[in-house]
Amino acid sequence: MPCFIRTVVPLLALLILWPGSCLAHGVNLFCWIQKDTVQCRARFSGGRAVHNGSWKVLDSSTQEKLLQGKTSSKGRFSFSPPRKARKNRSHLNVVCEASMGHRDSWLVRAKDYISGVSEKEKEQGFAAAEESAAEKPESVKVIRDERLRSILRQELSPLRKELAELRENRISIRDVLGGLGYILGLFGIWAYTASRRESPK
Amino acid sequence: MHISEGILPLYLLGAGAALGLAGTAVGLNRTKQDEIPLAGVMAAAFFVASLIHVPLGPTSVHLLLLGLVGLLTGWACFPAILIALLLQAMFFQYGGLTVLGINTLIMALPALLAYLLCSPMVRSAKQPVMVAGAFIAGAGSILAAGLLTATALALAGKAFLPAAKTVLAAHIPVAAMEGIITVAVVGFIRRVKPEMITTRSG
Repeated sequence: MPCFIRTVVPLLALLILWPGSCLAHGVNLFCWIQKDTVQCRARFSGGRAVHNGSWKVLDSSTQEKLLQGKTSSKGRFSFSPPRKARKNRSHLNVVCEASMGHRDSWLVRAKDYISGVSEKEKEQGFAAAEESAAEKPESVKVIRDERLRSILRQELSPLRKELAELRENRISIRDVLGGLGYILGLFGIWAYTASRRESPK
Repeated sequence: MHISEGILPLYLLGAGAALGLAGTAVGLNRTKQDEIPLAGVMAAAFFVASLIHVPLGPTSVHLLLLGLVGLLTGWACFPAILIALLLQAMFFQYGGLTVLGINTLIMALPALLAYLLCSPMVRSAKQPVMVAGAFIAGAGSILAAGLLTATALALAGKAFLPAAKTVLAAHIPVAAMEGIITVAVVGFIRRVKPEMITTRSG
């Protein structure tokens, strides 16, 4: 028994103090746009995929449920925004729920998933493109506004994914130490007030 | 086992907050001045224990140390767990502010039960009784917390049996581990500082 204690207690202390064990649970959902579909990935904050979690897409203004489904074994799912949402240019609230009451949500803005530009923007864009085409010599290839947008979208999609990943909640050693500091302070205040109450001078 | 925000209906959140607050008030009242530092240490232990991941089962689980917190702090487990959960919500984004009350209740109630039911066994002079008491406190409190989580989810409209099955299945390895850890820590305290366990009035 004492030998057991001598091995387990230091091991436990090491685990607690080990910054590498800063893996937590709780679900992290992130979504990015690829061409016309919204790609989503749900992971536990330890990095493990949420498999067979349920997801749904809500219209963020009316809270109406538009789509739903289950995550794959890699925690992935994708959907193309329904026509109704495109028509109303509504923001989409993607919600993923794992078992045991863990969930997270992600907001997909209308301007991110709607590839077409508004009529007004289109007119301005085309007018500008035609103007510049008229000025430039024939050899310069004029890229239409629409086409440029889609190229940019494609080129930027990995970047967007990385940005989305950066937004994930990761626990740093600073969070842990900060929390411990708060605990020390709060219990210090409690002990202080208790000591004043029990031994009035 | 932290329930996230936006899953439970309002009345459950309210009831959880009221009961959690009541428990905290009782805890604050019943805790003597010299027991406060230990409650603080246990709050800190509970706070960091959640970072120790047990990579088993289909979902993700972590240590909670509920039995140990209960045995060492008694009624003070309510304020200790409340503060630790508040800070976990703030720093780690576990749970959240609206579910703070019900999460406190789900975790502090089993800790308190561990204290009320198992501390006579843990104080026993016979080692096998002490070991059994500590193991039951450690493992039982986790399973009880799992059942409470499943009950809360069931009240929120999820089917109880599947929810209970997932939660319990995921927590059986944790429960076993917590049992062993509680036995080890209680055994260690009994050797080096027995008054921490045997002289608590509660």
